[in-house]
Amino acid sequence: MYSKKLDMLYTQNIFNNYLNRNIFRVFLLASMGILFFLLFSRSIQLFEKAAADLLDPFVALKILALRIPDFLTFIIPISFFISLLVNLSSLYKNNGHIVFLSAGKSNTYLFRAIIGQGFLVLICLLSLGLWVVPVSKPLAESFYANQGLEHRLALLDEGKIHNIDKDSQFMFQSRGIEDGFFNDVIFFSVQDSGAIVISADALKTSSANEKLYLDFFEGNILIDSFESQSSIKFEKHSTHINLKEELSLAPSFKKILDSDTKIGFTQEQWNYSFILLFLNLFLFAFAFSQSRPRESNNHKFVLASLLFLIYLTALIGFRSTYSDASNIFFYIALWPIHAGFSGLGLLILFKSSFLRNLNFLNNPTSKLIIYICIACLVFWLIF
Amino acid sequence: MGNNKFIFYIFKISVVLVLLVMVFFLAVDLIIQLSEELNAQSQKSSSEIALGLIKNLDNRSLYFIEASIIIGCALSISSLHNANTLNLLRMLGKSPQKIIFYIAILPCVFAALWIFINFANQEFEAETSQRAHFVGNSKILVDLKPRKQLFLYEVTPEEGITKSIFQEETALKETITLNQSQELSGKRSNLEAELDLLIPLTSLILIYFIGSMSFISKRNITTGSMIALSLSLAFALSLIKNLLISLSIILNFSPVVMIGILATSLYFYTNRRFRVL
Repeated sequence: MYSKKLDMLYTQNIFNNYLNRNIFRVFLLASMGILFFLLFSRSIQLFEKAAADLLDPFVALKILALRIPDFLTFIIPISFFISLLVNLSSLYKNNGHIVFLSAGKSNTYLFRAIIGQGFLVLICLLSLGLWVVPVSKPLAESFYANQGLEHRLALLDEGKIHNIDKDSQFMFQSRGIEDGFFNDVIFFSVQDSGAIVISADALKTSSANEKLYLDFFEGNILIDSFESQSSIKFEKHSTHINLKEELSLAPSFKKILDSDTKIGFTQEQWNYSFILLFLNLFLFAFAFSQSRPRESNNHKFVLASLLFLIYLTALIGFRSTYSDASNIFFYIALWPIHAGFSGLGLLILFKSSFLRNLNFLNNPTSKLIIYICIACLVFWLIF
Repeated sequence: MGNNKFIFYIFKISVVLVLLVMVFFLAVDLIIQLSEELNAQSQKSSSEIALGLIKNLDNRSLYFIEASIIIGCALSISSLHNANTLNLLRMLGKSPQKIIFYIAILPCVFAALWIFINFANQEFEAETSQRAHFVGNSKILVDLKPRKQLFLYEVTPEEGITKSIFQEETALKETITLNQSQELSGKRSNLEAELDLLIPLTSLILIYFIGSMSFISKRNITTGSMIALSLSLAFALSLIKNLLISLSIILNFSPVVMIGILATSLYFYTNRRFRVL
């Protein structure tokens, strides 16, 4: 009796070790792959700026390093989801779970075997999301902001030519007392339709919403359409230039990793959200990995990917509705979205016939539509 | 005789497919650009804009030439594979490397010629792309190419801003000094043009790599997966090039050498794959 129990315990340990080791391997591999891809795509944009002399290369490296914890909060749930899906599916496909059922193990055995590792990963995610990211991300943002337009304007030399955009240049003879003020300024902008030349005693610069606002004081403006020209004296003349950066077509993951709204509150909610996302993906992995022996898993992988992408898109969409922090209860960790997808996960898990009855992936037209949807969502999310 | 017919057929199918992919890319690009230009509310009429964009297609084709060659050749390999022509050619005594070489060589040679022609024109354009410059502290020289005119705007405290017109280049042009950002953007476009010259070579090696897959895996490689693989490879290559150009400006090394090293490593890796066939 004692020996039989010991044997079972020993077998159980072998199985636990095997499953956990495999899950951890795939998790590590997926994490490293996604992290490399994220760092690679971010470095393209940062070094492109550095090469155009708009950012210090060492600051670019610092920004990249400081963003790693933030990237990991996004990578960990996805990698763990991929790892669980791959390993559990192969277990079901190779009749592994039937062996355990026939050995007297319950359906929850798999869950209990993995929960330890899942809990450890969750603790890592919690510590990253709640303690590390709130420090590292604002620091990276501040590094980036310090290299912004105001910083660059502060470094401009007197009596030299400076480009504002591809059509506009300006030159000044001395700096004003306040930041962003220049004296004895000549500005010109030449386009296909004509040229504008402004000579002013002073120029005040300010930037907002990817625009550079220029206020010229006491000067002349010459507007030349190349056919005719007119010259006007002015006391104050204001104009603005669009500064929208035209960077390379590298995936930026801006929608997922960089919120346009206020950093503090939104970021905090987003960090909690990734923790709930992790728990829901844990549920999805179990729901989608159940398959019959020799049944192809590809369809379920495609559906799981589509569901995950819709989930992420819904979270981003809901986040963009944030107006202020007044109604905190409604916004905590974007709970309506998480609750909805938890319900769906539970439905798929306990009603496995629900997935089996979905035969639309056998139809080539619906298959094509699903692939196009996935491609569009991926394209929208990463660019 | 039979061999020659097969080889001619391979040449034909690869060139036609590469051209079709290129036409598809250019058509999509033209539509996107046209919609952007029309949204920008330019003073030109829509027909003028469309005509201008069509005239610029030769330059735009350089953006897509690499992807077109890779995807077109991958499609050729896939269609030949589906029709069992690849097996037939192997039975006729052609090695896998040679078959891939026949598929890739003609598009790569045409691409090299096209890039060389555009490279010569680009050099001329790069020299004349900057149309306005500061001359000294108070003069601005505008070189208006379509009118073949040079305008000089002069700012004086007495007269304000005055404009004078030159019909020919004058000694003033020699005093133009470029600023730092112009130098950097010039350097970047030069490096991009240098890397463009490597397109036929890199495309050839990437097709070699993609081709090795169709010989190794007989069943798993479908047309869809070939397109996906070639698209991702072309996209990854363009990203790597972009990063290398930026890094080479910062660290002062040659991106051409780096791409050469990467391409050579991929070639030797693929050769090892072919050896097991």
